[in-house]
Amino acid sequence: MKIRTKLLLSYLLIVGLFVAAGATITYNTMQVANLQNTVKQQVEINNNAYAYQQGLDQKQFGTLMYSSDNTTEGERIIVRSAEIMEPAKVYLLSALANSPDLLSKFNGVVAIDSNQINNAITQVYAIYTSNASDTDKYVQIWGQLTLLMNSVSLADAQLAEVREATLANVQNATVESQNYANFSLLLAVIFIAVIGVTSGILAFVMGKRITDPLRKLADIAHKVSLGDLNQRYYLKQKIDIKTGDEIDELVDAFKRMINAFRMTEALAKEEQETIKP
Amino acid sequence: MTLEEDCLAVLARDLGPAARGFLDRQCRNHLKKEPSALQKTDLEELAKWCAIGIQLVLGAQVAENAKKGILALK
Repeated sequence: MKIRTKLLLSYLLIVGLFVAAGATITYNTMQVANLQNTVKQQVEINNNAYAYQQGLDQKQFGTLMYSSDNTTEGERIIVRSAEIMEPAKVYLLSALANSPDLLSKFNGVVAIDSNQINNAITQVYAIYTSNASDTDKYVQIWGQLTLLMNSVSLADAQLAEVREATLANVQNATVESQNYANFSLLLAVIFIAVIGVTSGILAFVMGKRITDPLRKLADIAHKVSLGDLNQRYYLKQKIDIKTGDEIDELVDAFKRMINAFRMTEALAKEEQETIKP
Repeated sequence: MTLEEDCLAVLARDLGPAARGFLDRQCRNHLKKEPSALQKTDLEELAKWCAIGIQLVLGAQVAENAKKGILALK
């Protein structure tokens, strides 16, 4: 294998490790981002459930005020409560579509509001504006207010369950997000260690495999340059330079060069002896 | 390529630039002819003398390589 191929493979190994580390950490980061979106959505659901709860309480309070002769203020509060509850209801029906249990609970709350609470308010209004005696009105209104307060309490309890569920979801998502973050940190440390160790080993091994034969060859070249032509045998017998790359070709060329020196020297000696008188 | 050039190429694998001088010597001293006049029938004799000459200077393994290379030209 050529030196360039060896270096390229080493480079690709390191790049592969970096890519694996990057892909894993990116995946974890995406998971954390998804969990953050989940947390955001659950918080939004919680806020809307709270708004709906507040709306119900205001509706109850407005009805109490209405029945206590503060009709204008009572009506204003009831209208205001509807303005708060309507957007919260639209949002919750859409957002809870993927959570059948919570959607079922909220639908229960909406049913209580539509049937029992609104009915009680209508009854209070009808009784208040009727021509019945004050005593009768008081008794009947009190009965409806009792129904209203019980219904609001029931709806509050169900909304509280929805809110608790969202808080639990937020808590789970936060824990999961923290786990992903910890896992990413652990992976980063492991990958840094693996990449560091692998790079170090590769640099050491590759460096040694390239420089050791070259150092030996340089040593022989030095001796040959000083006239020691027996280095050919030294190359052949004492040094086992077999790297399977360009260094082998360099050794072959070096052997050929020393052979040429020796043969040229032998031919020159022979010629000199022939010329001698 | 002429036979001389083929022989030179074989010898140059081990002797490098000294191949030319060595081939000239072996042809003139032992075959009594110029390298340019080499014939296929001379190759066996040339291989023998090249092997002997190379073995004296560079050893048996290089000599054997050269001999095989020249005989392969037949």
